[in-house]
Amino acid sequence: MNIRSLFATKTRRRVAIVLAVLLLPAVLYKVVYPVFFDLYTGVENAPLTYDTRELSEAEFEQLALELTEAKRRERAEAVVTEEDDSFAREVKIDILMNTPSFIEEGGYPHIEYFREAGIREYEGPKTCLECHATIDITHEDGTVETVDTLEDIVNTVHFKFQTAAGGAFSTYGYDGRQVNAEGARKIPVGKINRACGIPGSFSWTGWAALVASRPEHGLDEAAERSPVEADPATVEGISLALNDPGKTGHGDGEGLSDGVVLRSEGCGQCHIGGNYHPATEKMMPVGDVPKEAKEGIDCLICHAAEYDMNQRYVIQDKHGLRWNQDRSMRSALTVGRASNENCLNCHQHNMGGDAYIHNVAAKHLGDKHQRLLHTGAKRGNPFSPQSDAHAAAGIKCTDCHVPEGHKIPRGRKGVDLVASDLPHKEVSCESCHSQAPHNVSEHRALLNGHVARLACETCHITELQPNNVVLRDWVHPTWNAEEGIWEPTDVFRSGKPGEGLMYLWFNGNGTFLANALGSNPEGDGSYNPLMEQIARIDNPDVIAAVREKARELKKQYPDIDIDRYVEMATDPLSQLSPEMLEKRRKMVAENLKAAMEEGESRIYPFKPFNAMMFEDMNNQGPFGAMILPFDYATYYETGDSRAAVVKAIQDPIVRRMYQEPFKLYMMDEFMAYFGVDGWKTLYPLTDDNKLGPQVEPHWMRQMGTLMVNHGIQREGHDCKACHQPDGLLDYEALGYTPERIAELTSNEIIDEIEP
Amino acid sequence: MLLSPLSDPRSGFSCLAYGQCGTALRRLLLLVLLALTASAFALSTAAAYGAAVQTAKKSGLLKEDSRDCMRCHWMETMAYRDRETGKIVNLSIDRDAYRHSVHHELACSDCHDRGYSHYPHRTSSADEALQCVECHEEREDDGAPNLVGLHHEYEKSVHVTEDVEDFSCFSCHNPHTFHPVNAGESIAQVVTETNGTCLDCHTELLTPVPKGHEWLPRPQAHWGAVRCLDCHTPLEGRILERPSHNVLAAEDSNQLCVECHSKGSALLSQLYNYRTEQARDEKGFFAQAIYNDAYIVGMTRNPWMDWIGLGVILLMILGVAAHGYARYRFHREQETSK
Repeated sequence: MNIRSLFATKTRRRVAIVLAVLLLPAVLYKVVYPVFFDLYTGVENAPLTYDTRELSEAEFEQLALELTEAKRRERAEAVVTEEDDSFAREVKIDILMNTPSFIEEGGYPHIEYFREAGIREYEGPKTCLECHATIDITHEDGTVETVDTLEDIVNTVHFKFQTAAGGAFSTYGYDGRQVNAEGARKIPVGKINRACGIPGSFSWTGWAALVASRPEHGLDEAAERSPVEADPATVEGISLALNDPGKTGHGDGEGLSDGVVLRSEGCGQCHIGGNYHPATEKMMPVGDVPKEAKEGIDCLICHAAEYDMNQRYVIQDKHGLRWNQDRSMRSALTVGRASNENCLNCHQHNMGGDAYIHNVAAKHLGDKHQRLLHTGAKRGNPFSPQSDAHAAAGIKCTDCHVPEGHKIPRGRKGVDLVASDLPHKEVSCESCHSQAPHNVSEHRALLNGHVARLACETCHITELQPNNVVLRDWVHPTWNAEEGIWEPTDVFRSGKPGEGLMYLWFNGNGTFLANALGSNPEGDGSYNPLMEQIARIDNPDVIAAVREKARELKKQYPDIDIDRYVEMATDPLSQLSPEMLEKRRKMVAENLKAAMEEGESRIYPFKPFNAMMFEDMNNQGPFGAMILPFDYATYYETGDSRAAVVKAIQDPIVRRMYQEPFKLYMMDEFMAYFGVDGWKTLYPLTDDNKLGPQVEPHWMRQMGTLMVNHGIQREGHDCKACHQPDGLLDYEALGYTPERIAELTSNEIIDEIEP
Repeated sequence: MLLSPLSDPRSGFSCLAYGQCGTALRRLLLLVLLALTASAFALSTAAAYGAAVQTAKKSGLLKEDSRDCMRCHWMETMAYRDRETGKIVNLSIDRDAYRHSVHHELACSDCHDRGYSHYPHRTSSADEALQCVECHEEREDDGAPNLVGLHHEYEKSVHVTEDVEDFSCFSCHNPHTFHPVNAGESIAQVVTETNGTCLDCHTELLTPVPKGHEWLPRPQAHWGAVRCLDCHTPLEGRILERPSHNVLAAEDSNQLCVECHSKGSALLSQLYNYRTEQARDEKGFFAQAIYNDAYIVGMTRNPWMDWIGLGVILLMILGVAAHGYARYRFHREQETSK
């Protein structure tokens, strides 16, 4: 039967037309839409290749032997720790290594699975899915569901970094509406598009960058360097190297001028997708990420005990920049359930920080294009046996954050607008410790009583790491001679209570710019953190430190007016016009009151943070304006912060952001939550590629407050830390009545307890 | 003012499940007492407990030394885990619950001795023996109900005869929250509250096949519908106002289904007495008396029966109407043919 005969009769023709009509939407959706989407957003998708190869039988067996013995030795070492004498210890390890029952137990089960299945090369998700096409998920109510593994993972926050799910946020817009509440128009919100001055960029503009650093071994040159002066020859050299991937195909940096070292940087280093961009397609109500992107998922970073973080660096191919990953058989043979080490590959970065001494991943920066270390910590509350009581007790991350399939709960109290897969699942101290956690002290009942008003963290996180960043200036970078890059200037770092750690009422709700909401249950109604505590810094030590830093910066940037600089950094409300200030006062009182008074508030510790960035003042409100991202390579290489903004906002996605469809789809709603009336689409770049007059450097009008929950100390603060006139808690600012303050600060009972 | 305690449903007169009110005789006595002391009513801090709700609202917790105690004991989480039992012992005083309790006028020091006046408290203070029965006798003039009869029942109960360790009034009753059953509480609420007292200790009964109750179908449904005490107290000598404190051992308790599942069950009369009283309060005496056991569409029991009943009524009306109409037509036709 030839094609013509298919349309021979009227009936056949009719059937053909009906079929065509039915198929057309599917074709449009599956074929035309993705092409159109890529063109519109400028994102790139292409098959992702990695340096993998098939092992021979002998190589496989050799690797299996090495891994098994290494693991056995690790177990043996853990058994003989009691033995003091090192020689005796070695002998005992040796005995155990050859003990039959010890040999039988443990090891890596996947070695046997791979051996039997004949798998000699690890090809990413494809290999895993051969056996794990579906998984059983146990829900909280005990029901078991079988789901498609790939579907499960691509719809997690770990892959798509955002969610538009209703009820997933306990975040309230400054307009008083709960973000994506049931019944509201849902917009994708999460790490993917959240404005924040810690990374200084968005995940599109800052996904993967190769930075040409010029490390100096002597420090003399540093002071003389001007931020805008870059050696053009060198820049050309880099671009030559990048555009010619070389024989390995991965931009080795051949042809770079002397002294230039390529470094990796970007949001993608911690994300499980291996593509040229984040999961942009998932931002739309329809469509899915392409097959290529799914094949780039890094299963092993979460599941392999021997994952090599040295394989995490930026690579360049003819389609663009992306992050390499460890797809070795060595890693693949060690897969199992995610361990603390797996989680911490990425999450120690935002807890202890890159410079934290026990951050293991930060000691494996890459075999080439080493990742840049971020010395300023995002939270400074490490999770490691050395710094956290639970890690020391061998508690696993997943003991508290109990996953359902690949979805992992982050707890019901989220102040920082990070999307949550299981927003209603509890992650709390009380679920293990009950409401009577103190058992040893003679005053245990009294201590337990405090749980009614204080979160456990308030006493049991006594301080954060000293490199915890409180104020970061992106506008005036500082030369880091050792790394050979320009870095944002951390104007103030501290982990001390009252400096880098503050105490606020919190009921689990937060604002769109990460301000903890809550109220004093026995207060006089005066508690108003958005006008008080988090809108100003009045600790004289901090102000002095900021002034000192401003003086230092003035040497580099003579235009700085020191007094104004200190005022803007420590009293960000001074940047608001009187009308804006009045509007702010009104919005706080009218829009946020209900969200503050909801539920039960307790006092929690928060890490305060503010940053100076370039803002689009056409889109400003009483709480801040739209911040503009930096292009990492330009920023780190040249130190020209304006040029870095110019480069970043030329990204097609940012251009689209300033156009009508995106405005209507997302930005108007986004800005309404932000406290700004409507999104103004005037693109902040002039025709000659200069920043428009609406672009101004500013600090956010209040500090963000990040919740801290790790780095738990067995012994918390003592009574006198708070119960004295100049204690850690500012009872007046917390809204207590004068009579209650007198009670809380009196020593009469405390002296009996702590003479 | 004199009569108001009677009309107040929260007064002790309608109490039942918690069993602190007296017999009918006691009611009468109390009434007389009330009448006698009416003139001194406002001044007297020793107002009859039944009328307590009506007196000045001054809570015992606001009295001077109590405020010192409450500086700490207000904290909802003030508790510790007992080192021997491993159970959490709550030391917090719920101010609202105390305000509504029968003891609400008492200051802390009225019951707790001087050893508690400073923190840390003297350890010997923890050993203080508080006696409900003695205290109520001493304060009988203040209107505290006499608990002697109740104590005699309790002495015979399995909790005493089996020598349950550290068993006392406080094992079941929290003096800081103790109050008569609130008006308007449904039978189900009364059952839940009362059984809660038992099940707090007898947690083994919360399993699908509770020990000793293997013979009982759908045990959890029973826990929600009848009080443990309905089967576990003697049938003889029951008074309608409160359950007996003579809690029976398993072998002495009722195990006959028909004792409950029959009309006019003696076992349940005490429980339902409460419902009748409550219903009378709500719906008026006549409504209750007339409708008591009748099936009224839209008012009682099964909605399916309601619809079927309504359908039957409707059909009947239709039938009668059709019959009438047919007769009328027939009559007319006969007339015209004539």
